[in-house]
Amino acid sequence: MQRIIQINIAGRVLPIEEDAFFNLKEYINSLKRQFTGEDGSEIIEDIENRIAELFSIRLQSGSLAIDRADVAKVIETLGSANDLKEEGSATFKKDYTQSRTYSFGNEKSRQWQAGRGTQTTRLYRDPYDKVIGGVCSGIAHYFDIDPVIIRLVMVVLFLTAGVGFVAYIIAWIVIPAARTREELQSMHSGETVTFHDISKNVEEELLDLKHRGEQMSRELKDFFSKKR
Amino acid sequence: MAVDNTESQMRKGLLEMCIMGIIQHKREAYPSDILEQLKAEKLVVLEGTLYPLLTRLKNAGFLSYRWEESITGPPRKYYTLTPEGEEFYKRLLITWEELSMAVNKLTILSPNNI
Repeated sequence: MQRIIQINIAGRVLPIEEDAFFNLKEYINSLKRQFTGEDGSEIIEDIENRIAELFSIRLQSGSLAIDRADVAKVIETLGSANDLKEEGSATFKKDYTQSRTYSFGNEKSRQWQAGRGTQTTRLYRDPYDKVIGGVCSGIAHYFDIDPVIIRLVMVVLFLTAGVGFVAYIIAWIVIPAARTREELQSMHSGETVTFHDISKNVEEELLDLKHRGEQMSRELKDFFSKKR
Repeated sequence: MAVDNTESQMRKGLLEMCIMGIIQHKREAYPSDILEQLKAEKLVVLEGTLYPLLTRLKNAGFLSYRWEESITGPPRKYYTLTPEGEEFYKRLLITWEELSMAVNKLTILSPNNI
């Protein structure tokens, strides 16, 4: 049994089976991470247009709704984000390195677009060096400075303005804790992590976020009970 | 693998020229049209490679487009060459002409072969 939902793609309303929809969404999100920057949204728009066109043809030939096989075929025809990266990297490197990429859009993540073999540092909370949630030490690793400095700044923010506290809580939720060895390595800078390895789909992210929310409330409880 | 890479590099460089050629021949073309021709000649395998190229050529001022409604699907972008595009395409053709002559001379008609 499959639920059929309606999607609006490139201005066309099309019926699609639910699991096919998730696959499609994941695919489009992976393309969005691939084509960032000024040209990015336009490229995505064009590709969505093409997908809508291919789906229209499919539906006209008598299919009731787009299913997973149709989505798989579209991905095969257009090429996965990874395939397009390899085909396009030499020509587009220059254009796209200047743009924001997947993670916390900043200087270091730009290097990803330049291809494999470049080094990236990722922002994680450090579970092994923490006072509260590991946010400060994570930020410190990211900029390669002493966590004490970040902590001092944070304490000043806590005391002088209320925003410090709110900002900390938000950072705690948003920044993932480094759990695997690879995450720890890339937190401490230097290890090569390819775009594909890092890319996660939205569902995963949401699940992860929920998970982190739960974990954070646990950690908060721990923290306050410890204080007492 | 190294051969694949070199081949794809060679193709990629010529792809822009071919896209502009197709558009010039048809005076106006929409991406799926262009794709059909490129795929027929096996210049493009993955359709997704075309769209970044079109956007780039457009942003460089060599192409412009207009929207046209379609009965069968979503509205289509019809691309045309701008005057700068025509100029650019002509220059590319000359370069290609010279290059292919030089390459033929050095590979096919090299002294060893004669």
